[in-house]
Amino acid sequence: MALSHRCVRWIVAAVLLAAATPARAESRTYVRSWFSQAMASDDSDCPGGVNPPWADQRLKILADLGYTPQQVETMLSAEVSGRDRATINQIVRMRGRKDGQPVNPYSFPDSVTDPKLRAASGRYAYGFNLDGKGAASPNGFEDPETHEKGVNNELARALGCMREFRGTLATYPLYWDWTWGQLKGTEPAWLITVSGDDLARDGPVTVTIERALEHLRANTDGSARRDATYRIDPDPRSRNVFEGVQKSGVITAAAPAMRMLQDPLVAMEFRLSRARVRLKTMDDGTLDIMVGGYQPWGDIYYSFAAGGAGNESCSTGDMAGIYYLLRKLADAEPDATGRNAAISATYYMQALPAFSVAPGRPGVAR
Amino acid sequence: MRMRLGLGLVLVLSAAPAVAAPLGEVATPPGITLEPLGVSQGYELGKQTATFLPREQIAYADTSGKTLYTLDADPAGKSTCVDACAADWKPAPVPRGAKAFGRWTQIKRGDGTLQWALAGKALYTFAKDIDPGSVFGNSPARFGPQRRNGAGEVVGGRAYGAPAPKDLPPVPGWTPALAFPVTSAVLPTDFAVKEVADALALVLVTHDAMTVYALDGKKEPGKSWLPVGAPQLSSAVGDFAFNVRADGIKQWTYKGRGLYTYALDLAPGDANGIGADKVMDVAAMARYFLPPNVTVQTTLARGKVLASDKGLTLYRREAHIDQTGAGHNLRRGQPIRPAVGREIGLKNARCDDACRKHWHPYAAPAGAGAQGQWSVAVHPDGFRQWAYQGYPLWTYDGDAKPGDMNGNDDSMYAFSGMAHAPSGVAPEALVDIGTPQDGGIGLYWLIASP
Repeated sequence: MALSHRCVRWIVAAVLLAAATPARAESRTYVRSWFSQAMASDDSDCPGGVNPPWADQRLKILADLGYTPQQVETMLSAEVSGRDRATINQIVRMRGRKDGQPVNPYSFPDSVTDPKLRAASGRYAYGFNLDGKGAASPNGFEDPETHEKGVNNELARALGCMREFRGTLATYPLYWDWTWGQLKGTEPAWLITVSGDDLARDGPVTVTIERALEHLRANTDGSARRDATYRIDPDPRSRNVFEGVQKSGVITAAAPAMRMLQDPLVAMEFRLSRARVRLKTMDDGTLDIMVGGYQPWGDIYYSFAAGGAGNESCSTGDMAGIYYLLRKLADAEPDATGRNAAISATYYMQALPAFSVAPGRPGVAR
Repeated sequence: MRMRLGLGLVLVLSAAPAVAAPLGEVATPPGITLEPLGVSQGYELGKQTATFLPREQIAYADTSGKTLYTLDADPAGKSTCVDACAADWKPAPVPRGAKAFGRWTQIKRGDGTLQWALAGKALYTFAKDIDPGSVFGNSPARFGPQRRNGAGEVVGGRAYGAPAPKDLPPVPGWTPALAFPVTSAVLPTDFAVKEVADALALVLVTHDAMTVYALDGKKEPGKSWLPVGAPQLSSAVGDFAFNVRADGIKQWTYKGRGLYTYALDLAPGDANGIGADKVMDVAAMARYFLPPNVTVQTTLARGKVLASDKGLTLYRREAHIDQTGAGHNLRRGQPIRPAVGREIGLKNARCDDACRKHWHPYAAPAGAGAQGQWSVAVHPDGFRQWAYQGYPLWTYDGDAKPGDMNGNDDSMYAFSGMAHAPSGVAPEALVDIGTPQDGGIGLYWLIASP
């Protein structure tokens, strides 16, 4: 690293003073190095058991479609032996019925009868008191870290008994482990900049989350690289400013909304309303971040459904089942029909120290 | 072999002209278009083509994209396909006012009409070619999901593992007229000719596929330009000769111009040397037609982009493709699929009144017609919109200056049972425009790369 953070801090301070418009005297930039749904699965949150693995669920689908046990056994035997690997997949991927005709359940999820997958009913979920009702919130969780009650995170409830989504901050959920592997390679890096008058003290801070022009820089082992420099994408659509405070080393901040472009082929956008962030600096200088808000559940569903049958069998499990869970547990922003269009959600990010520059503008990396 | 050679020229075997014209003439006259053949039309939706769609064969075509052919038996400058033959093989007409140039000449037929000829050979379309990119009646739609082709016949939809469809055989005596691969040039073995999209041209490349540039003049360019060395025992081939440099090493020349690569071209297909030095230009064998009101600009993150005459980025409407894990956000991370672009067209672009407040069709000038990779999409009200490789082009009013791409990736998805879908569009309305039958359905705006 050519410049220490402290050194850069002083340079930035000098430049800002020279410009006589010091919005904040100190800035620290980080780059997102991990992203997943914030899950706090434990042994008690699915009292009826977790939902069946996809290998079992697809056989249940065949039965629900009217295939006899003997027919299912015959098809399965042919599949296992390699004689016919297509038939079951073709039936399952076209299991919806629209006007009597088979349709795929990914684009037409309501063409499938609700498989009534189980949702989680545990006590804990990471998140924020988004509805403002606090402990009186009818569906509130307790945050396992802050122990705040009345936390709204219906997305964790919706997916909490799906095997692919279960996990903790330390034991990554399968789906998100797989997804992060894609996101870090297919979308530009996210930059998180914390600014304040003196970040060593409590006080007001600004948190900016924006996109870089470059993708996440990696070490030779594939892990995210520390202290790399990124150019800030000038596209205003992916620039989010949260205002908040730092108290005892924890930053909490809010913004009316958050929007980050992602990848139209995987997950079109990451959008939240009533967005909140909670940031904590770790001993190794990295950042732990919780970001939450109300997210359009259609965005979430599309991010699963975009991959169709491949996603269903490899990473998400029953897609129509997820559709019904999201639709049922959505808890904000009713549409014209009165159905809620958004669901409370919280995501967990980790970030490494980094530097950023604004292309075309004189200055130094911050 | 690329090697850094000594500076300075001591012997020029092929004198360069004092003021040289750009290398490479425009590839197509008015009324002649270019269509990639086979899978490169983009019907096929496999993960391979979602990431990279090879353009291995590019045919000359008429204004509707029908492949052009030559008749082996035709003598130079004359068409012998008349009467019954002409019912199946229609002459490629010359638009009013179009002029002959270079290898493109015009043949006057018995009925007085003018027919295009390439290198003296009359050009025809084949009646059994229905869709653009067809050859000898074989539509590229057969590679994709089941659909009706231009003649209303059901094609495609081959099940996984099913045998490939049996193609119609070539018609003896007829040859597709191909713009690429280039077969007309005599090349030393050190070179090939490749399509370099950023240069909008078919360009000489080195053995490792790096773009080759030609020096206009005799003054040695800066150190970013690396002379292309010739084997010491090489001899002149066609338009290729060599200079002997101060250190005794030979450097290839083409039409008398010293050949170089550019140090800041990092990968095959790069043409970052364009505009870097006014005496250097790509060593083009043919240049693609570019409308006079279209420019090429550079973005911060995605390289070259087509732009309006004011320099504002042009966009195409794209449809979801199952590209899981691939590089949509990388430069040229999403292949151009002409079949999908045509099918999206105007109607399926789903740009309603609200959309039109921000997105504006980019106008083709009065009198403009199909040429090269460009065609004109005509709106119901008569408005004429430029289309590039099948995709109608749009500008976005959130862009303020050249290189802005603030509309890129603006997207919408659709699935059933969702009244608040951003698009307000039922999936049935989108499902057949390049989207797989078993995955997500969506439309988005994408910058129009050359």
